[in-house]
Amino acid sequence: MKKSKKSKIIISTVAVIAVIALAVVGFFVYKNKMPYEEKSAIGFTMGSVVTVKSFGNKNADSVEKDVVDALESYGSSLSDKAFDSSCLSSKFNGDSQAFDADEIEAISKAKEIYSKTDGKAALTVGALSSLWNFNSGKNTVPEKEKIEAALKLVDDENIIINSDGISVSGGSILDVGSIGKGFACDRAAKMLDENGIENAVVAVGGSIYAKGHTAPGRTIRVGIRNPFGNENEYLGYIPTDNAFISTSGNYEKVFEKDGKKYHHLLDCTTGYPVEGELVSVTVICDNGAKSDALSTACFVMGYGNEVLKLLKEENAQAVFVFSNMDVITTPGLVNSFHLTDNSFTWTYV
Amino acid sequence: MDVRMKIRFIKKADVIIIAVLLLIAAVLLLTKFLNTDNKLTARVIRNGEVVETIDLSQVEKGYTIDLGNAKIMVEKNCISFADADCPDKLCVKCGRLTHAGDTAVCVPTRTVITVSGSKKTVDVISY
Repeated sequence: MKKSKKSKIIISTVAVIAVIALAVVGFFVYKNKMPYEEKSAIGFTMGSVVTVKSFGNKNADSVEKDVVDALESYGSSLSDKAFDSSCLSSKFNGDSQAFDADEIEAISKAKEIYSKTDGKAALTVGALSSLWNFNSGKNTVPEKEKIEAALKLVDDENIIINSDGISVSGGSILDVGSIGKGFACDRAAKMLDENGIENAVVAVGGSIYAKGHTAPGRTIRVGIRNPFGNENEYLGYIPTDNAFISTSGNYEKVFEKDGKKYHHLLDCTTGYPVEGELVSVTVICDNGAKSDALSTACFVMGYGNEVLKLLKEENAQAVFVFSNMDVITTPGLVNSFHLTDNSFTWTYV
Repeated sequence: MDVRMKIRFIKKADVIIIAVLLLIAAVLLLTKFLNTDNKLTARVIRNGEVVETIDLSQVEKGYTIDLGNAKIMVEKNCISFADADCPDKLCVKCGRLTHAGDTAVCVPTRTVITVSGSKKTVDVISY
């Protein structure tokens, strides 16, 4: 009798301890929300790094590497058939080429967006951007006469879009540099969807595609670079489970000559880099090429009602950062934008 | 009588086994959580392939990795590009990587260095 009572007590005690231990662990799991396992691959395309990360991808295959490989070969084939001012290795020889339906759609959309910038942004900026040649590292300011001559060849009316291709008249050069990386994100998104990947982040240079979660209840956090710091510093972030994000900033591809700074975002009405108080614009929307085109358009237009109207028409949100460290966000971001660097002042429209 | 005693014994043994297994599982899970503290892991990636993985928290004396066209400086809890054969040296200007998520890239030499760890606020930066 004594023996069975003793063993009953031992059993109950062990059982109670086990239940308590489980409860404690359960509490920790809930608190820390165990992150999904991350798998990633890295490559280079369009003059930049491309990173593909998946979270909680339980398949043994290498989807991440496949997407990187696909983007690398896409970037290479794109530079054969179109001029891309964002990379040094464009092998475009001037003949108009066939583009597929997705490419035609992306280019048409960019043309439409740039048509609202009063000529400040253009897809046919090729003659001008190749003159400035920001990727060569030569860092020279072109002669005024050459800039004026190049400006004459910048005219998006010269773009002729057919069902199977795009041709350009009048000696204009189509430059896909302002939408290439965003478009690469669109291609990556399609491939990830086809492969059943539910949680992923793709970065092609600074153009991002974010989908899903990194842990239960934790969506992807996309940081916005601090324009005054290095590429690992951010001023804030936006959590999202499905968005394309692109940034245009005057801190990238910039050189100084005779005390003046020249950045790569050219004003197609003057032929020189855009001047103004904006240092960066980040656009968030439902399409990569569109986010890329919009960030360029917003930067060249400068902050104002026109730009806010354009963003609203395109169902896009944006973060504007100014040289005085003011940050303005569009109304849709009021509940999602998190400012993490308090040296900036944040207001929402 | 015999059968009843046997059944009761089996039940008791089962309970003990289950409880002990649960305890072990609980302890393992707990230690896993308590162990993901500030360990920083650096990776050196060349042409998309990871060529070096370094536990930065274990580095005592600083050293340099010479990859030929790029040189990487490894220190305690810090990694950086010391030099590279590229025109603009943007990779070197990126400075010291000391936080989880920090990255430095040298496009011409196709070299990337990353730092990963558990304490990351953002997953990616748009620039």
